[in-house]
Amino acid sequence: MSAHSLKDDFLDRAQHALGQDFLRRAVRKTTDRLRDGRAQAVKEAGQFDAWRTALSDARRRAIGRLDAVLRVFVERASAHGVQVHFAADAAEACAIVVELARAKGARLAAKGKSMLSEEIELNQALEAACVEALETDLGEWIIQLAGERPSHIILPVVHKPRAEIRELFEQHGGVSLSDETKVLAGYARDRLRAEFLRAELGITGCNMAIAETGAVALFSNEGNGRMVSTLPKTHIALMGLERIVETRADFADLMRLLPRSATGQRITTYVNVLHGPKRSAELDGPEELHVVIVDAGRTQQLADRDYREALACIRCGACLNACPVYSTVGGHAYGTVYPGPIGAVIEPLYARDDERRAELANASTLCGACHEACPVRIPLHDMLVSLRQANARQGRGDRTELTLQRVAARAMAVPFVYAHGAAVARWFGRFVSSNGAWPRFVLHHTPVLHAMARQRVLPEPPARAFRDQWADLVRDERRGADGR
Amino acid sequence: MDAESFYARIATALGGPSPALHLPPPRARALPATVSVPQRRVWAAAAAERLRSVGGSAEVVLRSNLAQRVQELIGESSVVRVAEHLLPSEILPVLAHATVCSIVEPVAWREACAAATWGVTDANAWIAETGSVLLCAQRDRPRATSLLPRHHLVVVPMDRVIASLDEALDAMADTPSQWLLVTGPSRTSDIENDLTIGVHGPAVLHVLVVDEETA
Repeated sequence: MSAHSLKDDFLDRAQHALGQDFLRRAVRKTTDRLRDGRAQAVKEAGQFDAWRTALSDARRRAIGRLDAVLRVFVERASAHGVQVHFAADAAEACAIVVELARAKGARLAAKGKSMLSEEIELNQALEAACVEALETDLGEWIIQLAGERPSHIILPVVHKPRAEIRELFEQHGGVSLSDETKVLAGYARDRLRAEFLRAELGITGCNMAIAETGAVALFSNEGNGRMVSTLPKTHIALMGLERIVETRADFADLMRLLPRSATGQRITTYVNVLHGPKRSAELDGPEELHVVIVDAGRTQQLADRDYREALACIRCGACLNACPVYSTVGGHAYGTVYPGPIGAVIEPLYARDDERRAELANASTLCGACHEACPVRIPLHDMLVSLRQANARQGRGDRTELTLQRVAARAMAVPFVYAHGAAVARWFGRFVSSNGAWPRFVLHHTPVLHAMARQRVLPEPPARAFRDQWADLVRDERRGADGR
Repeated sequence: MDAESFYARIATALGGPSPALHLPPPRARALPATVSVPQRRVWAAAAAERLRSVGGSAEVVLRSNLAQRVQELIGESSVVRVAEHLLPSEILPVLAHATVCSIVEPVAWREACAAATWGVTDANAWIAETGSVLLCAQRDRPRATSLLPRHHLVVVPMDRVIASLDEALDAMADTPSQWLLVTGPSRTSDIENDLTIGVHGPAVLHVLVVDEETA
């Protein structure tokens, strides 16, 4: 995963994002729209919380006996002709797909949107084997033409203005287009249609598998997922090992919650549930359906009780839209495949020795909005706190800030030291706060303080500390009570 | 990695292998008592409203008017359609110029679908909860009929209108190669959050629900 190793840190990338006006407006507009859509859908549904409870239970149940559930899925999927493969890590998953491509003599693989494919960097592996990997989701295709990374789980290209998209298409096709969405989408439709018909291989992700019927389910709005799972002779679905529910009833809850949580839709335009390749008598559909079940760090997460629940995630993106940090800086600042609160939790768990991913636990205000929005109630904010604790224990992070926090912790434990220390800090704070006497650049070069001040606007301390006001408050309260 | 090693990895992570999961094979539930026609009409109205809210369209048509309505919609446009036994016989003369899945080879079929303006299908069900059309793939109902043409016309009898997604899941008991819900035309908001209809899939989804005059 070399391309994922991050050079600068989150704060640098966030600072960079904050300097880009279009990006800031676009990210805010997107997260607002999706959050409002979800809120509307919750209101209309009425029994949203009952569904949440049911799906939360269903996901945890399946993950709690995942080996047994996968066995049933594999047995039943195989019974209707699905060929199942198992990959321990990203390299093995890519090798399996590349080998299939070779065996089929494939030159073009048309791809549906898959975050797992981003995660294992499948496109690079296919290109290295001289197989063209073509993204066909409109947003993903634009990302691919631009040589970038998705910035949102479900709307990958929100950070790009339409004029840039037009230029990309004009360069790609040697044509002249207008900025209208219809024109741009129409160009993509025409260009990609021929490719769907030409591709020997269709590659998709898997939103969820259903053990009971041995099915792989794909949710989509554009229809490219249907194209790549219908037209090429071979369809490969990449599946994270945790993407499974046990029964159709569990799947019903998912159908109701995933679209509402993601975009506020009652249901996505297409819900495509596949039980194997086409039957011999059928006129169309793939002749082979391969499912590649991928671990790539997930069993590590499963083994860790503190974070196991994060495997219940259904990848709806609701936590991104709810997060004040994400909706301010956007996805690229995280520098990882999965951004936002869920990314800050699972990315460090996938690669525990990666310092740059570990710091993402700080990319949060711990407000808990992610937990509130989560359709399967993953306690993301608790996990972020626990990741921060782990980081501190391992001595990660800014040394000065860590030392400051340690000193503060000691001081707070002794009332006398705390009271006097706070008085000194309050006096000192008047100079270094946002309206204080010290200019910011001085602050940024002051030893010890720069660590605190780098990304924070320090508030002006109040004239009287809360603990000094406390005695008055208690007295007032008593008087009020006596006066009754 | 072989299957057993993979399961063993998971079992280790879980702290030991899980007991075998005995899931009964999928079965359709016992059919509910016969649903009255007025009830189906109420569901059809709900389905139509929900389908319209996502850019699709729907109308109730009396069987006696069906052929005329299909003629008005499709006229002489190029058409592909599912096998005759899935469609009301009244509309077959109007679709006489259609390419029919039951008499062509796969390559010719795909080309016909890619070139057609309309694809005409039936539906296994039409669902009030979401306005979704359920299509289970089979020899006589190939997938491309509802995928490649720019317009998709669904002709569904009133007695296939159902209340909820739960009932639609019954059709999964037979594990069709594809169990597909279609709810409205293809859409994307990928470009600056601007909603556009008709990206890869059909840009028009129109449902004709056929009402028998007798009820």
